[in-house]
Amino acid sequence: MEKEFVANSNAGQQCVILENRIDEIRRLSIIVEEFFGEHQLPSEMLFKMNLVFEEIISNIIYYGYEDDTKHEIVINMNLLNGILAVEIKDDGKAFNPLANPEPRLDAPLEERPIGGMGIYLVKHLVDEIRYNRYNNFNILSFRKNIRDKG
Amino acid sequence: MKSFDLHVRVEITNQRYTIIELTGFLDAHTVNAFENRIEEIVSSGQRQIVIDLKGLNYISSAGIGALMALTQRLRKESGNMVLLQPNEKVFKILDLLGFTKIFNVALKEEDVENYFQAV
Repeated sequence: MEKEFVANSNAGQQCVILENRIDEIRRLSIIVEEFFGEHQLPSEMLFKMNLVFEEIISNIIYYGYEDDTKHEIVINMNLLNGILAVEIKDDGKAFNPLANPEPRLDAPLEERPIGGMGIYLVKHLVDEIRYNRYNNFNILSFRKNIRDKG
Repeated sequence: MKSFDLHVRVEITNQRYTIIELTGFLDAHTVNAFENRIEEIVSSGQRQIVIDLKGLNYISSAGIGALMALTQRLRKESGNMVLLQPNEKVFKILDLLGFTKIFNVALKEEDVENYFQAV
């Protein structure tokens, strides 16, 4: 029993399908929190991963669509050996958030645009991130060492 | 179930500044409610504002954007904003984006006065 528990706590998968509404981010936060609890992952990382998810998904919801219809955002989480690998797929217009220029952190407040901060945070809170456009889908994939304190 | 709400409590402790206590989550979901409440407070004539962050568990770029807008507005109107005692996680996010150098951040209650004396 003990052995099985340890094995389960080290690996896990979860697929979540969200609608393109801001309140769906809350539903995802609850699912992510349950996933972290189930796999006994550190709460410091839960804060960071919830932030990463909010920034990416709110960006898709606010800027990704050119119509007012319902769209699906598909999130796949994979945990293996302490590494969380996530893929976020949406059918919005082609947009690579990683190509945006980084905000100038030393600029005075008046010269700092509000846009671009979220993706800057994401890039600094994950270990690896990449973007692909495939079959009319945007696919953003990232990895994070969950055991890492940083 | 855990609550992801934001609670805003306003306290006028003295004539010099208004304390706005935030508890919970300041994110894409709660930012509109926060901005509406701030609008009421600033429109009522308050220009010297302390935002007490001790009970704030989470902030995202949406929340930071609202704090940027508030600071810009208050500075234009000869006002001032001080953030009081963000927890370690919230401080780290503000710092990662360079805002601990832009915003007035008081790490202790007694430091708040210094920011208002300097105005």
